[in-house]
Amino acid sequence: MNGRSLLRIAFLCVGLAACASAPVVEIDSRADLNSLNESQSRLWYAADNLDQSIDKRHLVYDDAELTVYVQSILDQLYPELVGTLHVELFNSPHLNAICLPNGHIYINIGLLARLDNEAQLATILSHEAVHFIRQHSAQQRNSADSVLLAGTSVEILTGIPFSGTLLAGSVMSSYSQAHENEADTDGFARLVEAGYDPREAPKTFQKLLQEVEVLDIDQPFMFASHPKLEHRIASFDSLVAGVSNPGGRVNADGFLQRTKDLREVTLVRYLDMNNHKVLLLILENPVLRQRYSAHPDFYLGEAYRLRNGEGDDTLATWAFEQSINTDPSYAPAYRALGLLMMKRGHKQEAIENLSTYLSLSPDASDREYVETYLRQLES
Amino acid sequence: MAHRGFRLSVVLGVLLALTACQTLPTHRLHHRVLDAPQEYKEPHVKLLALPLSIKVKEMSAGGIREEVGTWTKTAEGHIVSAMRSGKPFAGKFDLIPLGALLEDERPVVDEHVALFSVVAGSAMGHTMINPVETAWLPKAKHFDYTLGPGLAFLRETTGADYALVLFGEDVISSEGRKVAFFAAALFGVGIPLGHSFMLAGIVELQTGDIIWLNYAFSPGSGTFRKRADVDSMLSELFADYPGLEAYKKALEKR
Repeated sequence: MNGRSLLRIAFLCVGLAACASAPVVEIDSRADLNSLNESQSRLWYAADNLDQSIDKRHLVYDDAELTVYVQSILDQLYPELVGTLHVELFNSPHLNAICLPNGHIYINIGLLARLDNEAQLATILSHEAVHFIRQHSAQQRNSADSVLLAGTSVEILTGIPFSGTLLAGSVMSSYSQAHENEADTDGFARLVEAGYDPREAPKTFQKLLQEVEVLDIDQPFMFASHPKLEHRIASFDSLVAGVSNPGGRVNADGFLQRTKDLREVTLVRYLDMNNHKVLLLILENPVLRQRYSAHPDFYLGEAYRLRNGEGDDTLATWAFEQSINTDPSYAPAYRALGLLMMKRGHKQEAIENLSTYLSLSPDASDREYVETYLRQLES
Repeated sequence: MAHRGFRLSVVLGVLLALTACQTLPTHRLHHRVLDAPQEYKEPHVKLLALPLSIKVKEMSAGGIREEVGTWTKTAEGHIVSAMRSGKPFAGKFDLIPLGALLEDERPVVDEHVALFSVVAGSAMGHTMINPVETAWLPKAKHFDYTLGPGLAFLRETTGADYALVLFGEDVISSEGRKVAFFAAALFGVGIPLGHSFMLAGIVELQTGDIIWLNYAFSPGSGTFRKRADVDSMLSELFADYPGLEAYKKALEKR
């Protein structure tokens, strides 16, 4: 080994030693908060700033009663961390939940709306709480530092540009997946301990897999850095198989009742996003459609209208008419049908429906627009 | 936020490498000031001081930058104190403190301070750094960046026509980073170290136009954690203020 190689190896050793960090303190109780190392304290500070930023931008879904309910589930799962773990509803229809290093869990309303029962909600919450308890973000931060420096060393040693970057990316990805597996396993144990039916855990992820397939995306947001959903479902299935006499609380009725309004809100969000694929996924399912809205045919019609494929105008017309037949006092269906008739050149039907819309909804915010359309149609 | 940080990092990286190539003065003046200087002869005698946007970070051995809350607070204290003393801009303008705001006004001000860092960062990237500056020379000559009129209400409530916005980032190399730097240097490989950077703009409240913009950059020799370094950087920032003649002359040569 020549002198230059020795120097290179010396650099690697010096560099790795230079970034050696204090061990990460796991948070099993509130008392552990007093022992956080410097790196953890900085992450906590950054998380507090992110909380403020989220709050300032009004990104939290404001439903105090529902938030208290979700928080109560989290508190039941982790009674030793009551007052440390906090949950907020994040105003996004995407299927996602995150846990910040300061113990603040954000669960998207889209994910909450998609769940069937309290046991599935507990599956998500217990998983996210493990990320906090094990301080995965602090562990990943420390690993990232070592890996980045090792990457630089590899580039120096090999002389191959980007070889270190590629290595770093690969190492961090596997590290992240190990944390996800740990969160699944530990969270599952807590789910069982709290008396929830463990058989609901894999169903939570099957639901997500269904959406991934419908939307034709590689991985949903929640699992951008997570193990493949299929592997994850298999892993949960094996965890369930290890539980003798699986059973326990599910609490579907209470959960569905408390999240009833939320589901219609998410439909509106999907509509605003022109996301007809998810709307159709939900509204073409006979069980889900009733759960999401008292007026599922209206949203179904809007989904067909947005898809705008061959025959979709006819399907949308049928859906809007169904909505009106079911509830003749529901104004939005008349508006939607009126606009569709206008598009299809059926002036008289358009005038009748838009006029009915205005009579049922005299204070409509779009009244002036609709009156303009009516004048155009009548002329 | 991450996007803004990334863009500023790129700008700062280019700055570090190319500061020596500077041909125009570092500051920029809105084209309206150049077109009708009589209207702006003393436009900023009294400037409203908007909230500071300052962060002090530590760069780890691997290059991760993390804000350190206590350091940021120290830096804010030094900068506020230096600005209150008026020394960095003595004889050039006076600062009016921003008084209490109504509950719905504060987020608007905060949003515009954040917007400033994005818009001014773009302005810097496009018009202040060679060789990009050369490609964007028409934009530098016709400097017209704006935040929009969202802060016009402050004109009514404070009586000021202009406001000063100050954005700053101080990145301090950890001991591990310094060791890594020297070890890498043995092999002829350079890895970035910390730096200090300030960006100041004067904004016309009525229109939101950035009337004057300048930056100061120190590649690792100073830190916001020391009052003397803060004084030095602020003095550099406002040394040639407003610099109308120098700017016009330099532009004529291009």
